[in-house]
Order: sequence, then structure tokens, then C-alpha cells
Amino acid sequence: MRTENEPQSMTAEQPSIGDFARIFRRIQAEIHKAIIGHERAVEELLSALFAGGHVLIEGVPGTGKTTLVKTLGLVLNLSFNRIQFTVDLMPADITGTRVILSGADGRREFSFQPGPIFCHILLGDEINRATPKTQSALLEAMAELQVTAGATTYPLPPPYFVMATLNPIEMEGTYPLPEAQLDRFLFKVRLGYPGEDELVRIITATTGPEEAGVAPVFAVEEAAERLEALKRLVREVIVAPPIEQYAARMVRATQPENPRIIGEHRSPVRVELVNRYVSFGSSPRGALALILGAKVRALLDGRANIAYDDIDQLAPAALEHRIMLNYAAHSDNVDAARIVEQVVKAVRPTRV
Amino acid sequence: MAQRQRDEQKLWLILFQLKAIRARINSLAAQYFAFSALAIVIVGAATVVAAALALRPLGFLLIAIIVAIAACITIIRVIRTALRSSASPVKAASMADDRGGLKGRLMTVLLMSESGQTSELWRYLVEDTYGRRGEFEPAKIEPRWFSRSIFALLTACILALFVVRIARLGLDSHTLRMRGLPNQVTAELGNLDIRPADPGLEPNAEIYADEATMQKLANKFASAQGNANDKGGLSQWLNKARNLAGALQNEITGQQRRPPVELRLTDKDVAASEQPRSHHEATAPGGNNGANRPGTGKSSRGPEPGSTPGQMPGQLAQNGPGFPGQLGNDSSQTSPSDVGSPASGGAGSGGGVSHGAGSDPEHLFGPPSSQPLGSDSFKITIDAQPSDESSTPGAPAYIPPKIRAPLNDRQHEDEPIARASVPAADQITIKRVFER
Repeated sequence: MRTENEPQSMTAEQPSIGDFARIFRRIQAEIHKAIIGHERAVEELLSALFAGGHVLIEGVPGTGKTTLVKTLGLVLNLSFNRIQFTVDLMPADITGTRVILSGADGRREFSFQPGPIFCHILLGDEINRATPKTQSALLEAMAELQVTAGATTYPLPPPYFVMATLNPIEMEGTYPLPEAQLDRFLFKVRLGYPGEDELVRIITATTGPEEAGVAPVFAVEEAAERLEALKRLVREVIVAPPIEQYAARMVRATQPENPRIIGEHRSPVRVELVNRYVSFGSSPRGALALILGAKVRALLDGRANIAYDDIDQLAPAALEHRIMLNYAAHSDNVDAARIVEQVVKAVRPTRV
Repeated sequence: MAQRQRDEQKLWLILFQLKAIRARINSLAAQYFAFSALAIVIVGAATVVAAALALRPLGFLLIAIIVAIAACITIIRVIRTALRSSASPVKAASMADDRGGLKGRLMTVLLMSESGQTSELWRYLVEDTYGRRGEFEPAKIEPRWFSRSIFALLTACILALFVVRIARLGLDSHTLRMRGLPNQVTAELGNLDIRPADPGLEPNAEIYADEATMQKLANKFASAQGNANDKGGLSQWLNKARNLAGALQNEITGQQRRPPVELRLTDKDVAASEQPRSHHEATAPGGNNGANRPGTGKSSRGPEPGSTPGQMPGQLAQNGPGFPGQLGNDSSQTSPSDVGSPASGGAGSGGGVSHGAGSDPEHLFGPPSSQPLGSDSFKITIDAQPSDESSTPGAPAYIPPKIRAPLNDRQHEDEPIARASVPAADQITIKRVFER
């Protein structure tokens, strides 16, 4: 239902802002039929989906990471695969490999068997258990949306959405993702322990005879197309130059004053915690994450433009996993969340 | 096409409303600057005027400098605050977004309208913003017409009036007290305690005395200042500062310098040494010894060439006929503090006494004079001793003025005539009359 101020869609194929907000809320509601709690995490997950990025989910075991991703796949009515990363997993196990097959005429030929990576929505469980080689195979697919096997490149079907999970405990025998790889994820979403009320509801929902019925929002044949249309609409959201400067300033404020690294241009905003505890700040991908995520938030609010507060709200999800802390931070028990909070406070007065 | 025109109209209305918001914000900033600067100037001026009325010159100068510096610093801060409060178009739009809860719509519309927006959602943004125009009406974004600094200006005006009035009252009471002081004061040199005065005080007295008394006075000055060492350059600078501050004070307050008091000094020793001579001159006929004294026996009113101003009162006193001193020859019995009285036997009294007594025909005639005689005739001198204490604690000792009052209210004033040379033929006749 359109509001009084909302104009009609530009074309029949392009959804309007109202359509976007309605679809988003509906997907959210369907997901929450199966996932109890984690409202902010679900919203960030969907924001990353519509922004065209991928998500790194961090949470202790049993907090619903896999259920969340599976439910998303069901609601969107898109193909969904799950990869459980282990130490012995090889890159070909996820990307696919060429096998020799006998044809009908008896001829043997190589045929590419696509791996589980070929789907619309992929869940990479405990990615930090895989070897760096296997990790990089997935990350290459995420960045380029294609897989190269032998001399042939196979594109991945759009929309392509990867959710990789991290188990923050049981770090023995794991291969922590390098910062350069972490940087490829648009947002990092945290799933914490549920509260008492939420736990009670979880118990009721999961131990009873009835299962949560999740209804798909899109029809199978149009799901991909509609999702792509919604993603294009996100890109149309207008960003004023002061907002872009604000996002850039926030990213640069996460970079410590190190002339060898940041070059000649120093950040105009100086944050003491950054200089003391940060080895490397956010890359420019952080600014892209801020703007794209803010665009989704603007559309949810019925706006065609980004506001400063949109940037502030997304700063933790977009920047925390891109900041590399030094040993002093670990010894003083300072985490990236606190750093980002101080950065947001320091940059806020520079608004126009 | 029609749709496009409607969109442009809506955009124009949005931008027009933004301009009105900006005008109102900048008007308040300008008012803040004007009212605050004016308030600072008024308070500063009132403080300076009050200091001019109430303080000594150096104190006034110090206060004036402090006030000037503080006013400059405060005005600079006011200017910076006013500049920060003023709004560019983007800032005005951002302020309207914040106050109207528009979440960046106005700022985005303003900036993107200038850059030629190609987004598919541009029309939606304009439509959406136009639909919310009630939320960014100028009266809603900035309800004030006047800056609150107008109250500071009003307070400053009231305070200034109050302060200046209080200071003026103090000055008026001081002026009234000063009016009661005499313009002429007579004092005995021996009773004077001479010490270096407060350098802040301006010269406020003219001293009249005979030559010997003046010399004694100079000796007394020298001994009084003998112990006062010269403080060197700092003292000079301080004096300059005082003079400057004093002149400034007078300019500000409009006060005129009080005419200097005429201080007439007498000296018992000088009077005593001259009394026999005056007696001698009073009895000897034709004695005109006074004629040989500088400035004596002359019918001059003002100071004679070659005479000192200190002798002028003596001249005035002696030159008129009918002096009480002449009648009674009781110059020794009059007040020693009265140098002008011919009864004191001052230096200038001899000639007049000799003329009035007519006791020496040979010395009856004095040299001709181009100036007429004085007209202090038929007047009695009323004198009084100075008092060491004042009735009011802390007030200076009262030195009563010397009063010359006429004996007869209906007495016409003498018409002075210039002394002329007596023709030789007449001189013989006149001498013969005196001899008889």
C-alpha cells in the first residue's frame, strides 16, 4: 500500500521504495518464525544481501547460525548449499572438479562437476577450520562471482550470497582468516547468547511437535530476478557529497597515524585509542560497506537519500572486522567494538 | 512535460523555503553580533566613565586599559560566535534537517539539484520532501525573530545608566564640597608644613608673597624635597601617564579645572622687620620710600614690571586712600597673616602711608604713572585666624578667607585717576599748603 507521498514506480519492472520496505519486512518476519531473537543480526544479514555483499557470522555453537542461513534460503526460495569446512577439505571440494565421465557413445571425456559453491545462497560453516588454500578458493568465488577450473571459467548464478561462520572458541587447529580475506565480507554479524525469554521461546518452538512453517516470499521462477531488481533499487539511492565525506572521514579515522602506511594525507579526526591500539585500520572497502548498508537502511525508512545516522548505525558491522588490533589492545582488553564506538563519537562533530 | 514542470515547481518551492530558513538564521546571527557588540561597548564605556568620575588618574587609566582589552577580546569572540552561528545554504539545510526530523532530505535535494541528478529516485526524493514542507517551515525551524542577545543589550543600557548615575552623584557631592572652599586663603609661612605633594594632584594654588617671604618659601621647598630622591625614568613615565589620564578624565567628565586658590603667605619675621620702616614712612613727611621699592607707591592694579606677583596684593591694598592702616598707624596691631593689609606694614605700604599722611612735603610727589590708582577705598579688612581642626573628620583645616567689606554701602566707588606729574608752579603752592 502506497503512502500519500510515495510516487509510483518508474517502470513496471522496477520496484518502488515502498515495495522494497514491504518485501524486506516480510522476509524478516518469515525468518523470525524460525529464528527467535537476533533481530539486529537478521536485519544486518538482509542488508548485506540487498547491498550485494557477503556476511561473516560470528557466534558460539548453538546460537542458530546454520538455521538462520537455511531459513533465509527457504524464504527467498533460492538454491541453498552448506559447506562444513574441515582441515582436510580441498579447494576442489567446494569449487568442483573435472571428472572423467563416459558418454552415451562410450567416449570418455572430462566433465566439470560443479561444487557446492554453485548456488545462490551458500553457508560456509566454520570457515576458520579450512586451510588457507581452501579458504582462498571460496573467497575468490565471492569476489569475482566465478570459478575457474582448468582453463574454463564458470560464472556463479546471481544473486550470490555467502554467509561464512566463525567459531570464536575452539581456536586450536584453526586457521584464522587473514585480514585481507576478512575485508571481503561486507558485514560481520554477531550472534550472541539469547536472553531468558528468548530461550524459553526457543525451547517451546523447537522441542514441540510443530515445526515453524516458513513461507517463501518469492516464487521460484522470479526469486532471482526480483532480488536483483531490489538490489538495483538499492544502488539508486542518492548520496549527498557531505555524506560521502562523512563515511570517508570515519574510515580514515580508524587508521593510526603511521606515515609509512597512510602516506602523506593524515586523518583530520584524531582518535587516541586508534593511535594506541590499532595496527591497521579499515581499508576503502569499509567506506563502500558503510554507504551500501546505509542505502538499504534509507530505503527501509522510506527515504531516497542517506542520512548521517544511517552511517553511524552501520559503523560497528561494517568496520569492526576490518580493524587489526595490536598486542597492547589484547593486553588491555580493548576490542574493536570500543574502537569503533570512539571513532563514531569523534567523527560526529564534523557533520555539516 | 507537465509532470516535469510540476516537479520543477516543487523543487523551486523547496529551495525557496530553504532560502527563507537561511535568511532567518543569518538574521539572528547578525543580530547577535550587533546587540552583543553594542552591549559590550556600552558596558565598557560606562565602566570607563564611572572610573573617570570616581577614581584617581592612574587608577582610571588602569581600568580604562583593562576594559579596552577585555572589550576587544570579547568582541572578537562575539564575531567568531556570530560567524559560527551563520549558515551557508548547505548548513541551513542540514540544520533544517536536524530540527525538522527530515533525515538529510533537504541537504540532499539542495546539493543534488545543483549537480544535475540522474538517479531514478530523484523524483521520489523531491516529491517526498515537498510533501513534508510543513515540517520545515521557517517559523518551525527557527521560531525566533530576535536574538536573545537583545536582553543583554537592554541590561547593559540599564546597568550603564545606573552606574553612571551613581558615579555622577558622587561627583556632584564632591563638587558641592569643593565649591564651599574659599578662593583666597591667607596663611602664615611659619605655620605651613611643606612636604612633597601627591604627584597626581594638579597645581591648584597661586602663591602671593613679598620677595623675602618667597625666598623663605623656596628654602622651605628645597629642604622638604631634599630627602625625596628622584625616582628616575619610572617616575617620569608615571607622571606622563597621570597627566594623560587626567586630561582624558577631564575630557570624559567635562569637568573644568577649578581656578587655583590664591594663597597669600605672610611671614612674621618679615613683617616685624618692616614695621619700623613702615612706621617711619608713615610719620615722615613726604616720605615716599615706598616709591623706591619695587612695585610700591604705584597706582597699579596689576603686577608692575620688575615686581613679583607676590607683591601685587600688597600694591592693591596700599594704593587706595583711606586705608585703615593709614588712619591709625596701628600696623603692628593688625593680623600678621594679612600681607595685603596696609596695617601689616608690608613692603608696599610705605608709599601709600607716606602719601596719605602728608607728613613730608619734600617727598610729597611721586613719579608720574600711566595707570590709574586702585579703587579699594573706604573698605575694611576683616580677617580671622586659621583653624587647625575641621568640624568634619577627615576634612582639611579651615582657613577663613579674607574679606574686604565697604564701610558705607552708599559710598560711591572712587574713580581712579592716573597719577600725573604736577606742574612745577603748582608744586610750590602745594608745598606751601602742607607747610602751613
